[in-house]
Amino acid sequence: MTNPAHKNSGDTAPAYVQLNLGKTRLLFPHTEVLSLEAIPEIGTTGAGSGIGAVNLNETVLPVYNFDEQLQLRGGTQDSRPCVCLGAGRTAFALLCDKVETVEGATLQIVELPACMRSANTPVQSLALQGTRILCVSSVERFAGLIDVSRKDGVKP
Amino acid sequence: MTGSGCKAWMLPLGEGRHAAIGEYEMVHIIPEWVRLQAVPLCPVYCHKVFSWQGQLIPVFDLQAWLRPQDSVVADTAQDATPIICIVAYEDENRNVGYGGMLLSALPFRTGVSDDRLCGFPDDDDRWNTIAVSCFSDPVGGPAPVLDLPHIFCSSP
Repeated sequence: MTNPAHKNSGDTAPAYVQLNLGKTRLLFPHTEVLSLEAIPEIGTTGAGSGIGAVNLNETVLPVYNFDEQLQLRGGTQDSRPCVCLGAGRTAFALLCDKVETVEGATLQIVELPACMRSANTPVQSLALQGTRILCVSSVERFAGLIDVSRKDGVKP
Repeated sequence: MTGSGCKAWMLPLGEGRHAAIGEYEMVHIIPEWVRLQAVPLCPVYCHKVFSWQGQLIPVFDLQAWLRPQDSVVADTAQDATPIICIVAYEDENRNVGYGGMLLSALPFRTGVSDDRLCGFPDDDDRWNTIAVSCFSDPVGGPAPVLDLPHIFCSSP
């Protein structure tokens, strides 16, 4: 399912897409979502350091499997959805447990407190949605985590 | 807390350690279970937040901060009831901010006078970075007086 926002950006478009990785709920800007693959066809060609690759409009994207602690994992989980993300020349796909769109108007976005910042976290801000707390990331920040994780190696 | 005859709150940290804050820096003691949300890859001593009156409160675990960086820190179990006090501080722009301190027991009040000034516990130089002074309490022992703006407004 290709992101319609790339063809026609309407005012009613959801602001974020939420990826659930265990108990961690990650938000990415809706504009950085290239495609949602409910039942991804994951191949091996072009996987690079990912667990596989998906073909999106003749572009091959590596697929990564992160757990709720954002540790890079190997293997594939059966029938989990896959979200293709991209910004600029950077694009990749993430497996997740659940994916849903989130209206920006329902969120109160706040900066990550200074005492919680670290070079490693891809979380750039937090979002309050009622009493729920979500982590806001971006393709650029998450790509940095992928680079670091690839050097550290994949956890079994 | 530099004058004579002022009041302070003693914060039990576990293992007999205490820290202290000024009387008016204590805002609230969370008396019941609160859902803490972990934020992945943040510093181990400050990687959880919770929602309080529409605000996101980072939780600082001073005991974890005091441990050597390579030591393993047991995570705060979600089914346990952590004792958290909410403290207030003024940032460099004179805005009031709030933070949470993880405690091992309920805090208690004490009196402070200049003749109780003493050195930091265990001659630990690390206290220099997050405490402005130290006094000896007859019940709690040496109690570094926390520099709350530094703790919550400085990046690790």
